[in-house]
Amino acid sequence: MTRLLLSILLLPAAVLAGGTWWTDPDRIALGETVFDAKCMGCHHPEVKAFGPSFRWIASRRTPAEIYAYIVSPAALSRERGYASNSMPHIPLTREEIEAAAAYVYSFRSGRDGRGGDPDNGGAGK
Amino acid sequence: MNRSARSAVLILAFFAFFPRGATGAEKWGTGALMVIVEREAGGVTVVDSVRHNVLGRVAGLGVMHHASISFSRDARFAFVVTRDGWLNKVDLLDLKVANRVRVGSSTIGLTVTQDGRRVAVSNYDPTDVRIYDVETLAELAVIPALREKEGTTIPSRTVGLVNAPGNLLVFSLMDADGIWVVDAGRPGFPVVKKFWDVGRMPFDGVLASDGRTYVAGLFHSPWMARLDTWKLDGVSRVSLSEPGKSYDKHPVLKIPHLKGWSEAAGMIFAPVVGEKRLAVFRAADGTFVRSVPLAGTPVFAVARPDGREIWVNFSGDDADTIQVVDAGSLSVAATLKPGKRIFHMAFTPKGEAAYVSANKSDQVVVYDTSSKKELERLSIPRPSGIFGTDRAHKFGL
Repeated sequence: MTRLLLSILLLPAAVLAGGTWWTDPDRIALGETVFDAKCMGCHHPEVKAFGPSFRWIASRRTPAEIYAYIVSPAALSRERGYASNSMPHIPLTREEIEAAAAYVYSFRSGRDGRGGDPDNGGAGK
Repeated sequence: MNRSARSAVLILAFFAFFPRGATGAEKWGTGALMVIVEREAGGVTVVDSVRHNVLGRVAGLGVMHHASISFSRDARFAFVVTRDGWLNKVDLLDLKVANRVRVGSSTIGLTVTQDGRRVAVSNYDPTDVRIYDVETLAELAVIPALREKEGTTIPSRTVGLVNAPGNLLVFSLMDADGIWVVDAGRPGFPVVKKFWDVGRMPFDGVLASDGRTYVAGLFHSPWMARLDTWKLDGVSRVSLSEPGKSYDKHPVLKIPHLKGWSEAAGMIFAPVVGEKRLAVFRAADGTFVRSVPLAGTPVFAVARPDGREIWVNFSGDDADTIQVVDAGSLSVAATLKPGKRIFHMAFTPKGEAAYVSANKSDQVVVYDTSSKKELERLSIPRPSGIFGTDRAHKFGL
């Protein structure tokens, strides 16, 4: 619970202020770079891998929830009652976390034309 | 012109119109090819590992992130399974897709059975193992991976699928902590053994080179699950912990891959999840020998065919590095920097050369394994997995 509170306290000003920060193209572009460096070993944007696809995540979580999960995956996993957590805490700057969250959320079905069926890993066939 | 002269002219004319290499069989054998995954381009590049030259490429296979390859027993066909669940049968003589079928939405691995008649795939989504005819790719069986526990049904992703002697298939259930054994030689492909609570979250599996011992790595347990496929009488534990010593844990940015687990000099060299070391233990009885400290968190640890060296690559900040561990001294003998983001390594059948994919450099680097000098740099777009056709004749793969 301590880490969960901490993660909420760590939410960036942009998150707390509301708005549509997650649609910022520069943030999304930086998020793709963060994904390529830190996340690609376990996640695929559109197909279930060791971790869930970003399309699956984006269809079920808000941008702020995604942000908080990146900050403190173990605490959020416990909060949700998952049997175990496999996602590590990855040292990232606030800017990188925000960008990664925006990039993940950019795969939300139907919002930006990426389309696909999240329950089918977005495979679409 | 006499009859002999006319015949000679006709023969010359034949070869003039049908140049050498008109059919694939005349171009190359398939015993020592490297099939290299183009991770972003949706295809594979096929390389002759005798001359280290590119023979050609095959495109349009699917999403190649974590694509995996097994081979028909005659090594003519490569079975390429893609992340988005396409099973492609690629003809290595004419470099064309002979057939393809959708086998899942998220597929992680495959293997060809001992008798060479079936190809089995392991899926994350749907949570099952499926078996196909190698000739037609007709679906023969779907084996749902489910566990009934405390009144609920737990569907599980399947991993670590291998073929084993006795025409068996062995695989692990990632979300249900199980190992199952399928008899691929009997009608209906029955699951003949189910072992539960082998450890928390199996993430991959490998079969020893003699085909007897199956080992599953566990993401949340500090041991490996070990199954004797001769006896099939239970799963034992092989500890990865070093007695009296602990190592720092690091974020796991890429899960170790066990198909690269190494057997060398009677020992197994295992990458430890989130730790900068290989754990070494005796293959015969699982006794811990020692740890080999490394530059980073290991992904693959691949033994040279003669067992004298183990080549290791890493995730995260050390992804540009390869370290070569000497199996005699159990220490790092060489450190190589082939390029950006090393994804995979494979040896030629007798190990005189090593192929290394430098993903971010768009190159596959070929090393002389004795001198560690570069022999060749092949330009291949975003290369990842490298699969030698010599795998056609090895258990497990």
